[in-house]
Amino acid sequence: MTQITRTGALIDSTKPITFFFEGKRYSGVQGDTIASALAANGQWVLSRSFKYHRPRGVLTMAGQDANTLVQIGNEVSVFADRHPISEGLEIKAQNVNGSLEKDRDFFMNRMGRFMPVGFYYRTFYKPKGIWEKIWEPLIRAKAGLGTLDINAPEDGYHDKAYGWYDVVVVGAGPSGLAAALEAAKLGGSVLLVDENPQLGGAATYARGMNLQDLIDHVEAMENIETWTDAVCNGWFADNWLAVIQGNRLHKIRARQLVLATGLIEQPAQFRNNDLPGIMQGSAAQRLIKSYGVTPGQTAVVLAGNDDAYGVALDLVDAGVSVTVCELRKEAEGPLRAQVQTVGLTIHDGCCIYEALPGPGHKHVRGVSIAELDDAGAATGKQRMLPCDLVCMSVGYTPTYQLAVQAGGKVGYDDKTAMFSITGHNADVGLAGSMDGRYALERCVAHGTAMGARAAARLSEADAPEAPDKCATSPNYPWPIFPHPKGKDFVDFDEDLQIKDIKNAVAEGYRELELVKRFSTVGMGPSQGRHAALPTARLVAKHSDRTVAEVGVTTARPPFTTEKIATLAGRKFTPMRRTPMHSRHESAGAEWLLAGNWQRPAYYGRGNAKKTIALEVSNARTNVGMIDVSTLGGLDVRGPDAAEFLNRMYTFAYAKLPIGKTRYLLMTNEAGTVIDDGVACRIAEDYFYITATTTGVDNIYRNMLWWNAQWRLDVDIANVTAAYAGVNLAGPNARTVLNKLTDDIATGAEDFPYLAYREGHVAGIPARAFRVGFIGELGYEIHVPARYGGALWDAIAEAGAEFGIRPFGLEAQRVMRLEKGHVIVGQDTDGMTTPEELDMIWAVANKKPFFVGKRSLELRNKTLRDRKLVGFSLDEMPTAGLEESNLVIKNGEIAGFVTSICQSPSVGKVIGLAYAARSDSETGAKITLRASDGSLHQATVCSPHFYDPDNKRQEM
Amino acid sequence: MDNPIAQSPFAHRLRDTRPTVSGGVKITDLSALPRTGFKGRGTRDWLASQVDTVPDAPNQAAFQDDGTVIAWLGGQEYLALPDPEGRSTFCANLTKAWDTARSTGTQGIGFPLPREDSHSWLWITGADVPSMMAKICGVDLRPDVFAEGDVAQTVVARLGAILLRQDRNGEFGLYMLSDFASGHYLWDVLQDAAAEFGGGFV
Repeated sequence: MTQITRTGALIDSTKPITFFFEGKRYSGVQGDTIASALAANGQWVLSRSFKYHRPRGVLTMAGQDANTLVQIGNEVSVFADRHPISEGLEIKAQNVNGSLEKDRDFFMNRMGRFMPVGFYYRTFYKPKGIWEKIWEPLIRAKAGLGTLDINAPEDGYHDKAYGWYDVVVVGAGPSGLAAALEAAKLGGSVLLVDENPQLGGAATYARGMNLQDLIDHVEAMENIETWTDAVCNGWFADNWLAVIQGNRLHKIRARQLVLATGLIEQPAQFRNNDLPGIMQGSAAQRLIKSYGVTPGQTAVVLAGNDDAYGVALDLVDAGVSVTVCELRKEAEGPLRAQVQTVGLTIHDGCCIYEALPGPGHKHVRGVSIAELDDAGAATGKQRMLPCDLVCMSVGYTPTYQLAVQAGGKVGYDDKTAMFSITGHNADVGLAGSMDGRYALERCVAHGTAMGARAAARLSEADAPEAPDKCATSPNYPWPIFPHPKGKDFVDFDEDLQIKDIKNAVAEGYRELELVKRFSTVGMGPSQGRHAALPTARLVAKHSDRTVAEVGVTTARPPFTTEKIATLAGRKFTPMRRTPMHSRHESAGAEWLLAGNWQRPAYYGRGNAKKTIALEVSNARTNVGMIDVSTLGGLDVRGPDAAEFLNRMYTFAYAKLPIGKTRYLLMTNEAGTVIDDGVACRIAEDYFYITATTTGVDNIYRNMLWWNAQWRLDVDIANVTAAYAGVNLAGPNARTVLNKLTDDIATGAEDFPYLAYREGHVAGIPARAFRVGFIGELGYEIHVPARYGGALWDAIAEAGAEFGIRPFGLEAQRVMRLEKGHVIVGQDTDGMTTPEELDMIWAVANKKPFFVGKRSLELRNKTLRDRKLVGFSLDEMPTAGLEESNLVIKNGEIAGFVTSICQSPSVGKVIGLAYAARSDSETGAKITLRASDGSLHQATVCSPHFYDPDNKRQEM
Repeated sequence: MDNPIAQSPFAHRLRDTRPTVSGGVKITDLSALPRTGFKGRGTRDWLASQVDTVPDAPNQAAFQDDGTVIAWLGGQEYLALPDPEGRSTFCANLTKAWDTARSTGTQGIGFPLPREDSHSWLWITGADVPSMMAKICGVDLRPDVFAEGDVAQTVVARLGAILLRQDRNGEFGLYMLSDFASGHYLWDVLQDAAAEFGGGFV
């Protein structure tokens, strides 16, 4: 049945679009969804069911069910009844073995008796080992929807945005429009969100509703933003709403929220109720009104409320021959009256007992209807009605998910078949049909009242009276008609039948949450939208309770499917660069990350080891320069600055002269080494101190935290980014610096080792201090960051005649290891004390207090059986040795390697390792286990492998 | 940054890819301009003695006669930003006054902060700025909520930032001060966020 010319609210028939489904070419028009366009072409089968591989088609036309899930490119589980077609779009069915038309796994439809509810809990684990060998591979091959290529590149640009509104209204149906309009009248900002492509909600398809005036009013209000195709996917504390529109996740804060989310139409349960051609009444109306698709030629409408007669009338208007099967014995209503006027056949007090499948179960070909007895059960008085369309209009549940997330509880009155939602957050209002106002006028009135309530709560005014709930429920209380042969589906996602729920209760799972977990009901993609109510009814019946007593399962976010890419959004990964970055780039730097800083590892694209060795050699024998801008920098100022450092660090600083530097070692309260650096005394009340690149932010926070308690008169400022630094090192460093400064005397006497000076370097105001991290004559020069590039250029130019070359972090690490200088974090762990590092010299025990002092006093009484030792080997074993390789003693782990390298300067393999204290004397042998398990002997030696007398750095 | 060898953290990006912008967001690099800050015990009283007006609440800015903005960041911490379109020596004068006071032994007047080097400084202007910033910052910056002179110390794209509402020729404007070392990252973030509005660095 191909429909050529169509008229619908969402389509433009003058704009044809060609697309492909399962490799076959189809024509649709602009505005079509995949499902509507396929339906217009007579293609009703969209998917195969999860377990039995039964053909499935349109059920809701509202993106509420798993029947329409298809795959587009690398995106799986796309709602075909929501996703628009586009030129050339290629769509595939998913969960199919073979083809959609001929699915080889359809034989599973006859295997239901071998798969009773919960069978998987007792089936796959015996005999031992069968799960891993047989069942898991088989189930993995069969399970899941769609095929995902995890190596495919990310498709599209996804991001997030914050939003703030006085009032957010979710749902742009009659009550939502009215609520937004009323809330906006007080002048606040209002956001109206709807998941559909047009405003109007049910009025866009339901018979006899016209909201154009209301829509026009809303659109004319400047302070109302309306978002269509936007789904509010979750409510979180303080009215934090996740709203997804396109590829953007909006993180919305609403001062007041009005939920006008309407109703979800419910299917009836009868045999073969899942056949293509059987759909909700509202789905048929959506196809007709929105897409101009006539869903069949001969229809049976299963009626449980007056809305069903609106469906019947719409079908008649579309040229469909209609028979009504009315569940109620005595029904009345304005739309029914119209149907009676039209003269359609109505079978009162009847149910659909069974739907009859066409060939291959690909479409309904008729129904068997049965008269109901006084208890509402099907009797043997049955008749067959041929049809190619069945519309079910038997009742609704409120779209309660967001309200429940906002703390609401769903109640149900078994006598009236009415729902209620209570106990939700006070800043959340419920409007319209979801709160029992079904008639259009009452919906609008209630929306107006709830909009006014939201506005009143913002101004602390009195909220207006809301209209009463409707007295008559649109819900037929028991549209469930079990069949001895089953296939009367409660949950379409999981292929669960009436007997599955009944048997779950019989197994002892009386509580709804347990039934859910045992049977998996409500755990599929539609998250119980259509299964929750019949399940609650069945559990209530078979456990001799009321639905009110059984309740409904919890609804957690998300409301509907959301992509991982949506949640991820745009990646924000802050990276820091020093002011000299472009210079390093020009010099061919290979980069590594130190914290979030990008630092040159070495320069040049050739052999890394050779390059690093060359950089080491040049710094040792000539002059080198390294960018140390990433080093942490803190200004500590105030009358109590020295006392503050005395408390924060292990060493003593009260008597440190101005113009001098001193090593800094920090322990935490447990006495564990956590950072080190250098303190430069600039003035009596001013210390400029350095901290490790990756540690400085924590150290800064640490300092603020401690001083919040101590209340010392000191100010601490993190100036890390404010200073660029260059370490100029090597025998020719002094000569190079001499060329660049007029006001800093660089001689050994004027500027001795560990001294601090201020002046100008290359005309730039500079802080300079002599330190020896790599063990050569060296000057560390810090300048304001904006001058970093200029400083680098000036030093490079001044050093050119001496063959100066930059060295990277790798060369620096080699040279500091040759000197035996530890790197905190690499050569220390969460337990290291200064004593284990042989750094007692940096601990001023005479001080009354420093952080960690008390712990160290206790820990030093019972020393751990390990020390950090230097070791060497003549050459690197073939297996290689690396950091974290174990130190083995008598077959036990005695420690581990913290640093190791092939030393260009010493000509040996050297390293630092934690070893047994008894092996810490020079000359002892320790055994290192390489990554391949081989054992290698190393000799313990002083960690000061290079220039142990420090003559070079102090020259 | 009157000194020609001084360089903004955005300088190389502006040099390499100076974009043409016609949309509702313009990002101007002001990092080359002087700015300063003071922090520590006594800052408020000392600053009050030096300027016409100081803000009367934290996270607020006060505007001086020459267009300089003094922002109270909290506690005893202040930020001073000159009028970008003027040639104010306000910041230099403040620094000089502080140096003079200290050289005479005055204590308890806070300490200067190297804001020219610790923070880059951008002026983000245009009607679409609040919408653009909503993509990267969790603070409500809509014009009727974030008034001229309001200050937000917050996170922008996972980066600490000081935002200050300073309109430009009647158009919505924000000063944004952020980590000097993260300029390269910030450039990419802002260009990306502004692209939707046809905006970017100018």
